Amino acid sequence: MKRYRETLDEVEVDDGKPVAFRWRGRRHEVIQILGHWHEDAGWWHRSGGAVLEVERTDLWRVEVAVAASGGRGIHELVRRGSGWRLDRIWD
Amino acid sequence: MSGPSVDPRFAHLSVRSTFSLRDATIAPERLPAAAAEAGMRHVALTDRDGLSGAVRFVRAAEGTGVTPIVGVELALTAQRASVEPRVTLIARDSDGFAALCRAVSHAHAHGRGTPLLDDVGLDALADAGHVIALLGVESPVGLLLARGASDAAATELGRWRDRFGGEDTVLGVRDHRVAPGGRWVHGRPDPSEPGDDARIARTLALARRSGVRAVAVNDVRHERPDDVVVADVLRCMRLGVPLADRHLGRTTSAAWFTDPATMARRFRERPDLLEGAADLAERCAAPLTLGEVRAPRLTGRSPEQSAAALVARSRAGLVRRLGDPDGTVLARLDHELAAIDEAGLHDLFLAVADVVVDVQAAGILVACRGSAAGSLVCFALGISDVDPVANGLAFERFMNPYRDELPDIDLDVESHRREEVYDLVIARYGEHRVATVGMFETLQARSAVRSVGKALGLPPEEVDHVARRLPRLRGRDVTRAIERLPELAGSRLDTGRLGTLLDLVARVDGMPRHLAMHPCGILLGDDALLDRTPVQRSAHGYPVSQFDKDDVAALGLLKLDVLGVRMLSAMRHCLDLVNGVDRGGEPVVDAERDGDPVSESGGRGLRQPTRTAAQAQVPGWESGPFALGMVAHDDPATYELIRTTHSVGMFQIESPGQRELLGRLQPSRFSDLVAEISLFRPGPMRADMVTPFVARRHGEEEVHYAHPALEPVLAETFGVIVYHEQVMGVLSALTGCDASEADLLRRRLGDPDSRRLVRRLVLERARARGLGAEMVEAVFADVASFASFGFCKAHAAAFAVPTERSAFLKAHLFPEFMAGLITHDPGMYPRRLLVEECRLMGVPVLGPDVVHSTRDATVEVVGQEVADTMLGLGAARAARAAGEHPGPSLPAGWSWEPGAPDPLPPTGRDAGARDDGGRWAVRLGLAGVADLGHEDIGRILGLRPFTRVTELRDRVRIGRDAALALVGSGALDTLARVGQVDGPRDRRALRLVVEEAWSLRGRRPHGAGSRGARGARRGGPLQTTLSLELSEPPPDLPPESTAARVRGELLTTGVDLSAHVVSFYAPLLHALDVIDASRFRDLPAGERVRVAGLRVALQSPPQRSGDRVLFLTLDDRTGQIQVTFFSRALADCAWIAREAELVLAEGVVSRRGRRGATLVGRRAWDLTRLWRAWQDGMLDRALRERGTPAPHRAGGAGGGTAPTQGREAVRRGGGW
Repeated sequence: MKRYRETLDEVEVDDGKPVAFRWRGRRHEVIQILGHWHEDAGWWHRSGGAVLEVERTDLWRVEVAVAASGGRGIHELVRRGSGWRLDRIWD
Repeated sequence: MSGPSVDPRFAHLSVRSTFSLRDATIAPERLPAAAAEAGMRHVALTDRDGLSGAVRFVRAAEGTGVTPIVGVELALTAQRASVEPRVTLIARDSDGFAALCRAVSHAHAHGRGTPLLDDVGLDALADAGHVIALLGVESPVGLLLARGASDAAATELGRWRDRFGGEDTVLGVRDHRVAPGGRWVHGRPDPSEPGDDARIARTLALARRSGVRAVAVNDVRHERPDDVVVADVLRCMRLGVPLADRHLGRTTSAAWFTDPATMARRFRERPDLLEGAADLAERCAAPLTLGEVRAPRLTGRSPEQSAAALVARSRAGLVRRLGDPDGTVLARLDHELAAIDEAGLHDLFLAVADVVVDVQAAGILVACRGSAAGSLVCFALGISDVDPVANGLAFERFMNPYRDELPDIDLDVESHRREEVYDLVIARYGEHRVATVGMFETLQARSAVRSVGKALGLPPEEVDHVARRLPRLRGRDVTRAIERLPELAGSRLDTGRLGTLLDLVARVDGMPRHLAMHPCGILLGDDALLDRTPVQRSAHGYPVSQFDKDDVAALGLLKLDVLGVRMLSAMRHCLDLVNGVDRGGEPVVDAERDGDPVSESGGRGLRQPTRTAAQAQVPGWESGPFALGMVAHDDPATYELIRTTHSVGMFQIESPGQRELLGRLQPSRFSDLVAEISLFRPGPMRADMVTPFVARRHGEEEVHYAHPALEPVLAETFGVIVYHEQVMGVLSALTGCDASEADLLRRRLGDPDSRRLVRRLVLERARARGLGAEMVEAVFADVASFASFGFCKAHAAAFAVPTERSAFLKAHLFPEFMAGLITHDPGMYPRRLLVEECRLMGVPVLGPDVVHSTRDATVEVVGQEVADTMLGLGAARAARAAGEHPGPSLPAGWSWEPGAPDPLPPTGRDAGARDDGGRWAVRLGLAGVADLGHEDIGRILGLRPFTRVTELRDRVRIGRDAALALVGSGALDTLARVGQVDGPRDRRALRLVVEEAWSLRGRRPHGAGSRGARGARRGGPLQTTLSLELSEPPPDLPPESTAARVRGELLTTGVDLSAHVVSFYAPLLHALDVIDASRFRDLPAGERVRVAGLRVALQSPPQRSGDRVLFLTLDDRTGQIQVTFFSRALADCAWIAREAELVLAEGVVSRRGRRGATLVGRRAWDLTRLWRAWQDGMLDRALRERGTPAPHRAGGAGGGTAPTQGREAVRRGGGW
């Protein structure tokens, strides 16, 4: 398992679920969703306004295929707000 | 997709509310509405550890169409489990609720704070039936499944099914989308967290395999997703930890009050789990019926036996009370007994009567409070001491057959023995039939700021800064408060964090924090009591209901209010001194003083009666020990004293305002006191009902009745409507209705809408009776306006009993009564004023003394010389003996008639004289000495007598601070022979000795029983101490001034014993032409004068005009003066009146009525500042600081020093 924590710019979504994304210039397609969980960041870490909100985080564990090479792997994608991130890869 | 979809059926079966106590955020009252909005037909409340929210929840569900279901979540005793397993138990109906009540009580019996349900409790619950066991994520089964121990989980589930049956055993399935490994803390997953996918799969597999039903739950803790922040804060507050990932007990915010559609999305593949929850809910009914009144069978008799017993006891009691009751009285008794019979409340009256008998048998004074005094049955049974027939009190005001509620009987008992009363009630009825009413302490702004700030991890100093600057507001006003509080801007918290803090405080405001014991409510029930309320233990071990007073009223439980009243303690203390009863159980080792009526200091045997019936000449006391029951109504000497307005220490009538009213009203009998107490209420005072009442009473205004029919009702109050009973009487005279209906009409006058209805009804009925419409209109307008602030006469009459008795004690047993007041401090004035009151009545007050004092204040007999010294009469007596006029040598306020043997105190009443030539004196107790602990006193009393001061160090082991306090209070004067030839010259010299002696002890090497230490004590240092104790202080030390001595007394006892504080300012007061209180009383109205004194009371009652008025009471050693500052003078004087302890006031004498002289204050000064200015020759300028000074006598500054630190010292008063 390798950790990355890299931001993803292009993520295709269907009904909230990730379908495909581009990472390090290569397009990855989601073949199968293996798991979907929630996690909330500690809201008290953020100083700031009086309005307290919990920012919900979605964890998606997906099996992907790299479009160019056909190589496969298990990736963990993290969505927080509208931003997506690639956190971990199991080859 | 298809057309409008029907919401899936679902009901939440696992919901925690704010009554889970610092865990969840939904109020139980909100829950039914939230369910209705979400389209649910049922909803359950399943709080952790208790059922406290149940009654409000069920009540709130009324009319919402939602069926309330009640359950509880309890921890189970578990072996070797790191996480304590919990189970949710749901009542299917009222039988199930009774079983839950028992189970909760059983779980709490395990220990305070950590309720645990053991197998015994679980078996009892299962045997009772009607309860569903819902096994969720935290249940024993759920925990085994999380560990992957599927077989063990199946075995465990089998056990639950065996207990509760297949129908009532259910597995809860929850989907919060928790990831495998849960929340990663410090970069590591939680190995015990399988994640929700695995958990759900295992649970459903187990359900299939075992045939047990599974239902969807959400373990709700907050209403909306965002409320999770509040739930997080509450949890951290409860655990006392800062907010951090590992303390949350959650990883997602999914535990909100989800609607069925959301639940359906979560359980997309298993809609049957939602259906299962809805089906289970359908099997449950509301667990409680509210608003039903139940008369519990308290005495164990059958209803017929109870009825017969009540009749017999009432009749016998009536004969005991009245001798030969007449026909009216007997008819009233029958009327009341019939009403009690109808309501089936025989047992209530018998039970309360039994409690009263038990309490009296234990030697505890008890008095009836409130409308129960309107009942002749209560009077006959000895519950109340007022004859309702003779006093015109209505039974229907107490027990109205048309009102569906249990009558309240409130008992007052001696405050410091209230717990004994609880013990007696429990002893008579048994633990299973008695519980105290619960009371929830809530999160309030200031404390909430501190706890939330701590949870947020904010710097404690900054949080404290915010908390201290918040006014005592409710939390939800906090955000508004911040805008109005410039001080908060000084906080170093940035606006963001301050905003977060205050937002959270506002959101937790008012949530229950902790279950406490209500200060007076006791539930009495039959064997079914514990089926109706769960109980837990108070800190003192008493059973406390989990329901508060509103809940128990809604449940129709029978409540007896037992209030602790300090005046009763004071009266008991007085009686015990008179009768020579020692209840303290103090080890009094004082052989040498036994049987020695007047010892060297004038002390007498501690347990000897102070008086006997033969010599006391107290009216009504013919033989045996004196008892309050002997106090007859309308004793002339008592009312003569009341009319002088020297009512300090009398129950209910001692405040400055009441004293003024006494002066105008001039009561001469019991019923006048009843009127006094009723008139002295904000409403009647504001409406100035007093003026016509007083004028008519004294015949200065004609009494007029709108109609002759009203005369019998209003004659006792000269046509003024004062009492609720009179409002009832007038309504009944106009309409011809009976007392019960009149009481209902009266109650409806408070609300403007129903008042209009009542008006129409009254007018119609009065016309039918041939009464003139105009007259009826006018009378009704009167009644309606007075109804809102009239007072229940029965209440006032019940109050007036202890008022009259305390006045009687003051009139006839003055020193003993004052000792009781000084010991128990029941009133509004500081103790030093009570001491002053003794002097004003010619009774000297002796200071605390380790040789003579007990713990509490006592009474002694002293020789005339001692008394003269204490009261400052020595010089005057010597002058008179020498044939001179004693006048100039008398202390301020005293007088001496030419032929009289003794001088007269400022009040004109000498309560200290005795036939045998000795004089009464009050001796203060050791409990009034600051820094002296309860145990210290016990050891002093147990180890007496002493021969030298160092025994207090070596045998009694008194600490240094306490020893110095004893010196300052004068408590060592006798033992150390202060001022004697063989003792230290004064207290200052003694202090040096004591400081030295105690510091030697302090330097002693520490260490558990080290030989060195003991050797040192036997050897040198102690010898030194002994010689020191007898040695003279260094010769260059100036003698201690009286001012310094008084300062020491004020600091250690709060009482200026050796001399009145004001006396030190005498030269200045003389220079300023200040009038003293004893002369002020007789000044004509309109005179412009100055008065001065120590502030003893400051009140600011609401005025009809809405203006602010300050009433300041000054004590100047000759009496008290009332100074009134109206709004015009307040700008100048308010600050002084509030801040200065010693005040000089200038104004105009105002007189109302016979005795009521007050000063209308125009200007005020701080006397200590004037004194300093005078010393510096700047008096004129100091007086000018507020307006133009009036002329004052020329002449320079007088000598001497005044105890100018009096202010600090007086503040410390009340430490008795």
